[in-house]
Amino acid sequence: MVDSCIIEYEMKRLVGRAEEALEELQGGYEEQLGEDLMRLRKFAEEEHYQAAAALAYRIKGAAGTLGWPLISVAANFLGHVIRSLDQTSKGQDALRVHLDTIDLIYAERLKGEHPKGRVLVRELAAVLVKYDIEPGE
Amino acid sequence: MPPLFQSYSAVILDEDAFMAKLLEAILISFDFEKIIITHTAEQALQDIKHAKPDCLLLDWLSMDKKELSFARFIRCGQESPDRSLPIILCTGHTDIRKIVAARDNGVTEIVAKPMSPHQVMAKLDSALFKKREFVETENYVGPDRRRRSIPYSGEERRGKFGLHQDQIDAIVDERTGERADG
Repeated sequence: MVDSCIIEYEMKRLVGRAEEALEELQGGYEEQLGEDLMRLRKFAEEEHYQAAAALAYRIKGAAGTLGWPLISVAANFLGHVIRSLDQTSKGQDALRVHLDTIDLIYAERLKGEHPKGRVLVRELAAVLVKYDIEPGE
Repeated sequence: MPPLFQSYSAVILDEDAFMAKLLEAILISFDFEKIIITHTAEQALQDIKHAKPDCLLLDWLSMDKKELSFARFIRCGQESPDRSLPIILCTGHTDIRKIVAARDNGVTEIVAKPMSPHQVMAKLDSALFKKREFVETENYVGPDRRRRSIPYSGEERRGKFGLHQDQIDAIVDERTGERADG
């Protein structure tokens, strides 16, 4: 019978190895994230909201796993903004603020839990409250 | 060291090739013997039928009816290649209704995106090494949902824009009153 401590140790070792593998992917992802953000803005500006929501969902998942947790959170918010978009100026304002903030976090390379980035994301959360945006489908 | 996953295989079903690659990188690091990536439900069924994987990781772009229908087909479909196949849903759609729906469609474990290797390891450990009794009743087919008596801790802990992993775990583990013996 294998000692549970040994299994636990092995699990931690494998998790560490996976984290190292993801760290290696982070460098290549930075460029792809930049391209995704350009596409995201383009979709939004051309009112291709379904495509924008799908891309925001992907960014939420990938960015959060690859070292950009604040962009992940902001992309999650953005997805809710898009799904609640009613074409009024109110919704459009919220959309623009989210896109600008995500671009700023990326442009200034506010990776990880950067304090400045955290402030920006907190401000986005306040925007959602201000515009009374609810979680959508 | 004891081999954990060296004889294990997995099918990853994901419409998004990049996200599938991320998950594959994690499973490679975990020493999975065989990993098959597929992007359509039809191909996934063929892969499950022929490769007989130890688990399915479902990571579709949009968690809509077709995604849960696929899990339901695996559990209940007459043509299902493996009704008891452990299904791990990796999703960024973490509002409570969708999580409950996933659980009630027989999903074994749920990983909230963005995912971490630690979370994936925990769910693989649970799905593959701590298997629950498989329940087949008129209304539900899947792993027994009464795994642990961890009460769901209440409305105040639910994130408005999605549940956290521990909140999802509490829902998946929630006692339902359903019994394996009918």
